[in-house]
Amino acid sequence: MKFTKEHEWVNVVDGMVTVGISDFAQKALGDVVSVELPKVGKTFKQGESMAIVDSMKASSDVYAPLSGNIAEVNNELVNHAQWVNESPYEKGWMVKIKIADSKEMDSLMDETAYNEFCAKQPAH
Amino acid sequence: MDYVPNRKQEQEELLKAIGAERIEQLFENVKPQLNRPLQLPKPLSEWEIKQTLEQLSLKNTSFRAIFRGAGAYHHYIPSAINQILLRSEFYTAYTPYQAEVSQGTLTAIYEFQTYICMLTGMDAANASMYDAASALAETALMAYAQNERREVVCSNTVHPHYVAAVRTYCQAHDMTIKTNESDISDQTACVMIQYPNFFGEVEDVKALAEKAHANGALFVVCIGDASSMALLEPPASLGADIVVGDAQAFGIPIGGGGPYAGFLAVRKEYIRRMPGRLSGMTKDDRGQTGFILTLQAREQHIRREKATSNLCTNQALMALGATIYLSLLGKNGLQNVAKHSYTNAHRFLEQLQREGFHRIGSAAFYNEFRVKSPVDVNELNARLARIGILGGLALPNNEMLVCCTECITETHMREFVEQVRELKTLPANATASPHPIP
Repeated sequence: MKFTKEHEWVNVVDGMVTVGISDFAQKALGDVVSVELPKVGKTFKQGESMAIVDSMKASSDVYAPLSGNIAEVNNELVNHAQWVNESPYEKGWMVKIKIADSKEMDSLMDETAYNEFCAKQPAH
Repeated sequence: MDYVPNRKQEQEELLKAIGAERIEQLFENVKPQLNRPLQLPKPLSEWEIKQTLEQLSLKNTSFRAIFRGAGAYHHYIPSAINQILLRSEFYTAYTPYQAEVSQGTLTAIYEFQTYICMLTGMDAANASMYDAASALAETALMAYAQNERREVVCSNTVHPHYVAAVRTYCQAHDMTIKTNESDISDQTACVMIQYPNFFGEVEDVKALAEKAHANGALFVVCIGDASSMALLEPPASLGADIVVGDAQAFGIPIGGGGPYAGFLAVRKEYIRRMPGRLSGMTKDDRGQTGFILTLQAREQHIRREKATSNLCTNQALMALGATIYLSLLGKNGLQNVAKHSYTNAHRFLEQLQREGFHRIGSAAFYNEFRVKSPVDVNELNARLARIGILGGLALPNNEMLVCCTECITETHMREFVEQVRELKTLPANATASPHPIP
């Protein structure tokens, strides 16, 4: 599993990546009340906003961790937004992206690097 | 609010704190054509100001009877409204930013929202908008955010001023506006209709809603005279996804275009797309009922440029006026207003038809109708103005849009008809009037 500086996680299997937001991110957001996901077939460049997570206190963008095409979205999540808090790495997955350029993977952090990155973040 | 002094001393302290030398430095990024001293008249004494304003007020004309609607409706305003509205606790345009401190304001907003939901049949209404035009324009952006389509189909019987506002909002989003029912396609973001429409007619809303939904578009109903909701089938049961309109008819005076209060109500699934704010009922940690501003996560003070809207606010004071009006009249009172308006308009149309006016259109109407006049409409309006009556709205081809509310009496109707008859007896061109036509 890899991570972005914007606190998305990605899991790669055969050129298809599953995306969600990290445990650190869900804790920072607080109770998630709504999730808005993109349409299947939509194309995003790395770093573009592709989804919105609403918590009680803020509405936050989820950015595409890698360029590509949305192959699948977790429609169940729309009706169970609390899964983002309860199970960020499993039931809380958001989209699957068919990636366009595997070289972009180099820009992501592994778990150790990400944990160090989070440790440096100001406390929420 | 406390008086905050702004003397040279305070100004210097403020400038020092932010590291600027002159106030002008703060405006250096303003476009040069705007960055100039305002051309304002010199300060006047209180006595001089009073003189000036009194002179200006002599230019005003006030009418004792009003046969004009076209977006602003002259319903009777009970005196109790101002008695309550002008209390100092309410008499500020804004909800406070620490909104929950003002439980009274939030309670009033909640009541307003509740009334709008009861009248429209929708699930949720916001705390109000500037006016009907901006409320309608926001729905185009809501639809775009929902289905990412850039075409709006707006019926050509929607108030032309509202359409102009929709056009302004849409052009910034590269959205286009079409006006024919046949333009509805899988590219349509939303379909807009006015009910009753600009000409007072009650169109077949349901059929259009079905067509919109069959194409995956949102269906937006803009209410004409809001008092019509006491009589007509609620838009929610006609298939509306979003309902907007002006609360002006509910106890807000017909000013020169405002301030009025728009309303915007939605089906549950679109709550998060709503611009503006929403007051919600909740319980505090002691279990007492209280009110909060809720669903704020997408508002402009939190989400900045990504907010659902950056050009809206609520009209708390005007919405409160409407709330007081609705609470004073109640269900029966509002139905009486609507019934009298309806009856007056239908009775007056019959009278006009006997004088040779021809109705344009055949659909059912509420309190406004469009007629072709046997006499020059501008001449007629000038004559009516001279006896303190504001005639209908002159339309092209010597047509007139006539409105009757409960404030129109049999006497007013007779006076109107007398002017028509007098005008008919005069030879053509003998009456050209130098009087300015209102």
